[in-house]
Amino acid sequence: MNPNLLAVPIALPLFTAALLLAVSRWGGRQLIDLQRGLTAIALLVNLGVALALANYTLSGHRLVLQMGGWQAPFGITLVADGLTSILLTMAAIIFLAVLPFAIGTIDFHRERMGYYPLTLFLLMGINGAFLAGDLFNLYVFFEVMLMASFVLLTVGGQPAQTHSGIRYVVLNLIASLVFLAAAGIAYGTLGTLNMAHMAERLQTAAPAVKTLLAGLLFVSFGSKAGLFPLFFWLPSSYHTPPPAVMALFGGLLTKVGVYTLFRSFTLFFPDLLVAWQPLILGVAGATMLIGVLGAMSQPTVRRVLSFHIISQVGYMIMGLGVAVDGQNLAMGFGLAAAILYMIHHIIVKSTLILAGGAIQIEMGSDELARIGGLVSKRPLLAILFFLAAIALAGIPPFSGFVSKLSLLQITMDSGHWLVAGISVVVSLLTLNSMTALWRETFWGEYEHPGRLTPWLLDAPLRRWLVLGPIAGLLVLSLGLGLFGERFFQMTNTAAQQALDQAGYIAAVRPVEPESVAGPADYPAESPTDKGGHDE
Amino acid sequence: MLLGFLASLFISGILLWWSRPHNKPIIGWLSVLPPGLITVWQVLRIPEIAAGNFYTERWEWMPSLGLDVSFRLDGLAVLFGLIVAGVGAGVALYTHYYLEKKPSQGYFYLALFSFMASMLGLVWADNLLTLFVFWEGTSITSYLLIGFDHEKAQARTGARNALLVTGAGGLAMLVGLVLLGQSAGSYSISQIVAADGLRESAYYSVAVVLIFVGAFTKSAQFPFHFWLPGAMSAPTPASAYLHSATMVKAGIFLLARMHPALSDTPLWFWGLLIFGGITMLIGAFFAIGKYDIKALLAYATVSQLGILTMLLAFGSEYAVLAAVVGVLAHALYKGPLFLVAGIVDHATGTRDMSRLAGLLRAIPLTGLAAVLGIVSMAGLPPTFGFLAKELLLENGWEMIGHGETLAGWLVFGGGAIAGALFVAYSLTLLWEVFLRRKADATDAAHVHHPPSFGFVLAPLVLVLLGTAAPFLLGPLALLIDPAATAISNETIHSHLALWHGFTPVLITSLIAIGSGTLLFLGRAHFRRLLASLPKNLQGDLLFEQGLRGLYSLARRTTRLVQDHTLAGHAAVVLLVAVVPVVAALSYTSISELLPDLTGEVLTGPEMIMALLLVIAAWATVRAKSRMSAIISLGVVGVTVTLFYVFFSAPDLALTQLLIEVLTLVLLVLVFYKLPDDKRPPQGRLRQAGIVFVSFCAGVVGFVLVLFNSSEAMNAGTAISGYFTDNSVPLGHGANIVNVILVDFRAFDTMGEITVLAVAALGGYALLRAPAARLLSPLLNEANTTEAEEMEETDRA
Repeated sequence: MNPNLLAVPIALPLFTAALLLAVSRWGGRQLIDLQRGLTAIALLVNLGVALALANYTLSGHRLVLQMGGWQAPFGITLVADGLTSILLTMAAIIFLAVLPFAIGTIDFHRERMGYYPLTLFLLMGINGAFLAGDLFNLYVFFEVMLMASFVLLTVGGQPAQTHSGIRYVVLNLIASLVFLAAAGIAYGTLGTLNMAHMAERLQTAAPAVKTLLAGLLFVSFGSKAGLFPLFFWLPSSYHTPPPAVMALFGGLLTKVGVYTLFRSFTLFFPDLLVAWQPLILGVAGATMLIGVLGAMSQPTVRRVLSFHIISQVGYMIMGLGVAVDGQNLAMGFGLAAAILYMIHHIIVKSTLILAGGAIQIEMGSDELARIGGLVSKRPLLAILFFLAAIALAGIPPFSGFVSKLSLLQITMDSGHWLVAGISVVVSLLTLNSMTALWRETFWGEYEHPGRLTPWLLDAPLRRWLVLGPIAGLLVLSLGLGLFGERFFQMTNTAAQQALDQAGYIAAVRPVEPESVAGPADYPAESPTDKGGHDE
Repeated sequence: MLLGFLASLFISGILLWWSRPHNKPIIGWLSVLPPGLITVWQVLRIPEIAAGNFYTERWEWMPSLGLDVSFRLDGLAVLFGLIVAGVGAGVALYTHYYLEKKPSQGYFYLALFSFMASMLGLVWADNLLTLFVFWEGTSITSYLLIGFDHEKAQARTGARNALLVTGAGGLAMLVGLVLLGQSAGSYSISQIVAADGLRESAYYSVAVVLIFVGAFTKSAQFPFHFWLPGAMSAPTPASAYLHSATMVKAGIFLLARMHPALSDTPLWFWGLLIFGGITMLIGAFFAIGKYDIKALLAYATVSQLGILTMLLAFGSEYAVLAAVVGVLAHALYKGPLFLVAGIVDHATGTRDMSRLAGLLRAIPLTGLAAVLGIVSMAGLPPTFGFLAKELLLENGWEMIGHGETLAGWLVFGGGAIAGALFVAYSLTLLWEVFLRRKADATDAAHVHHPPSFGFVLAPLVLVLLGTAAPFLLGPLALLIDPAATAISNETIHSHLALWHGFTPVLITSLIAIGSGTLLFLGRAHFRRLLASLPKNLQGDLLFEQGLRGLYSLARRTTRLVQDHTLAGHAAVVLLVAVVPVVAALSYTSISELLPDLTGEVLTGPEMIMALLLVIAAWATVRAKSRMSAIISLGVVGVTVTLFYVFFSAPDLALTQLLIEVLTLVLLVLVFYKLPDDKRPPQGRLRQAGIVFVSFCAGVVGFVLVLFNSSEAMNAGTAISGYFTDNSVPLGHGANIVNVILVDFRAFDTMGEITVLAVAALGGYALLRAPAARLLSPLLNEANTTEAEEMEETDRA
């Protein structure tokens, strides 16, 4: 497969966004339509590329692209393996699914202020973070992501958004600072930033270096992922942007943090997965529990949903904790289960946020105490919300069930009773919280606090723009649940690949600087010779 | 085939919903077909099953997790399957008349048929995880059915309590089932039941306790029984179907299913005996105090479920037969009685017994069904209920005879007391609602809306089946024996008969009936006694309190974690980042990290610069006004820049200087616009906290620098040499930094440029927002917590 394909998920959104910015300055309605159309095309192509990559890597291959033709570790490397392409695909799906919803609900002011290019920049950052094979390059894409999401947060200019935007950006910048410190340490002690090269050198590095680097990365990625006690930025900000934006954030942003945790611990510190297991599982348990308790105490639909993100990230980290553990189940089962859970979570969380957003727009408020009785007015929305809610709570046959069951099996198989017990209790509290949302919103006497009459779902076109994506994502969740085995085989391949440190290094083939002492010894590849190589 | 049945039920539900059945009686009658056909199919399987040929079906779902959809139609499965589908057919018809002309009828049908499919899947399952899947299905669908009248707060609370209790039990059970599956190496029920040695497994007791929790919650055993009376706010068809005939027996079914594999240990025996016994007694006891017909029936159901649980403690033939007959009898009298309660409610507008009287004459067909059902519930001969009670007493008597005196007397005595109580509340119901001429209350209710034939048909048919059953014991053995065999795992040939002669058991039965009649006559005193019991011991109130406690715990935890100033949160993140540094230091020593400084001399300018740096930093922190703080901060920046110059890094120095100047200019511009800072000075403690966090951050920075400069920590040659060597020949540029930025690592640069572009876009968008809105958060951010912000937002 042509490795240049790896650049597409980054370059395509970037160039499309630039194009959109160029046409957005004139501002009329027609040009908004043009923006929407171009965005849709870009997202479709992006999905196609992601699927092609997934198809290739999930048959056990890795794809490596050395940017500018500079041999690793000197240039920048992009790497795709199963884990990467699964997440690329998920990001592509969510962006594509949210687009109609955004077209139906985003206000004209935001569209004019560059909503579409901004989402494409966000996609570029997310895709880049998944593909990065270089620690500093990962940092750069984190910055792209952070800046694009910050602007998307604040673009409305409402006071609540500016408040939350400041919290969001300051706390995230601190996490980025920690990441930057880690990158500095990596370069200072290991002498390299290429991730494969780092993994190679970390095998012989001093334990102090390893501990320091792993710890700093854990703190900064953990903060991005929303782990306890670093998640503060998330509940302060996620409920303020429009639902379409929140669906992108809630579905994907924390998962980039989770991905980097998975990647760094399997590639750099596989031995710490064992040595630090109590820490990882402890953090996972605390995150699950504090997150769900937070959700129980929130007064609005979207605040409840944002706390649930935290709680569910805990499950994924629990999977990381038992990634290489287990007695009867195969090695890597835990990681495979965690990736499966991630897929489930990305789909269902976005679905639920969209459904919650539809409620909020329809009712003019999503404050639980002030709304109610929607079931008789909007039966279709009610059904979709209910199914999404129970999917999140882990009720069969939706995806939540198989993914939670696999995590429960591996934690019990490896004898971690406490965290397994916590995960079960948290499941129950999640179910409670989801049905509480349902009860307060859809049951009871009809209460409509908004000043305007309900309008969202009256126009047929808008109804389908809003409900279509929700239904489509639900079908995906159902499919993931019903054909769980196929997907589990895929995540298992991805997990095995991720745990195969030597395979990753061999695919990137970083050379030692000593072996290319001078220019005369380096005729192998010239900058004009674009490309990389297949494994 | 079986999966097809389940799917067809589900599809029928959707069709029923879609067809808007509320004003089309024909659809009400058609709805009988799907469950009816499944009933017929199962009846036709009975001879095969009696001969030991079980129908099995298996689809792989997730083999990696041991998750199959597999069904196995043995005696127990078909017994429960017949009840589920048969009673379901009746309830389907009844529903149409009960929810007469209600537009939401279709929605009820959808939930009802989904429930039916789940329940059938549950009882047919041959895989622990399949069983769990359908178990959860029944929980969710019953939630929707209980909360059907969702405008009523009572219905919502009842639905929530039922879901939480059964959901909690379900999850506990899941853990138990996974433990069981992992110990047995398989989730297939028939394999687990056939396997030996589970009782010796290290996880046996944990698994059994967890499975008990699942069964007890679902089957409303003490102390979880309270949800069942609460669930009576469901429409009557749901109460009749879920809360007496089928779902509440799922726990009993589970215990019966696992009986061959797990029974016969002290834990199993005493656990079921004690909890079942307590449930039996308190259910029967409280039933007498109820005036609401449905509440009375609900407590009677709790009591009956207690009996069944208790019976499954044993493995004897009598006990197993008693359980099987009890399940069947109960479905055939309690289900119809609930349906009758619904008809009474419909006809008179009330279920309050004090306002009812003489309904046997007013609505004779309904009355007939009621009388037949009540007689069986009372356990009077010659009914099915009588037979079940006789078997229970026989079992106790036999145990006493075998020397197991304690357990035997517990069963025998408890059974006799419960028998008397059953008689008492049954007679109360019979007399007050159907026979007496005049109601207690002044506002007596009258029949204003007599039921149509279709409405009465379902309860009548069911109760007639129940009445006929004791006289058809021969053919019925085809159904009862395989079920009993499946529970005990030993072949059982029953020789059931109504008449055993004058045995001690019969005499005890007669005594119980007599004392029950006495209790009935003195029921006024009994009701007063029950009414005087303290209210706060009721399960639902305790549950409510517990839930409220949980919510307040959640609020307090969240406030503790989330409700802080931005500075507070930033401090936490920074302090957490200290942890890895401390951990890393524990692997090494400072001496290993300190660079070799011999021969290095600090020059005069360097010393002066360092001093200036410290003073400027100090001044920034202590500055009284923003302007002076900015200026001293500028001094810090420029001094650092000078260090770069000293160490011959002109590029870096130039860049840094640019940034410093720009920052300074921007800050001055922005702060010029801001009003004066009128905040009160910070408290000592807060200041100390800030100093501490800053100190930690500084130390972290210092240690990180040490790490980078330490020889001992170096793990390989830096790649920078390559850039020096190749910048000119391959990059065609003499400035290495530039070549790195635009060639070697141009991809990074592209990303950073994008960041700048996005930032510019964001700045533009923010500037387009009204200015006043923008400034207020900036000013207040530093010392408002989130709760305050929320209020502010609301005000805005």
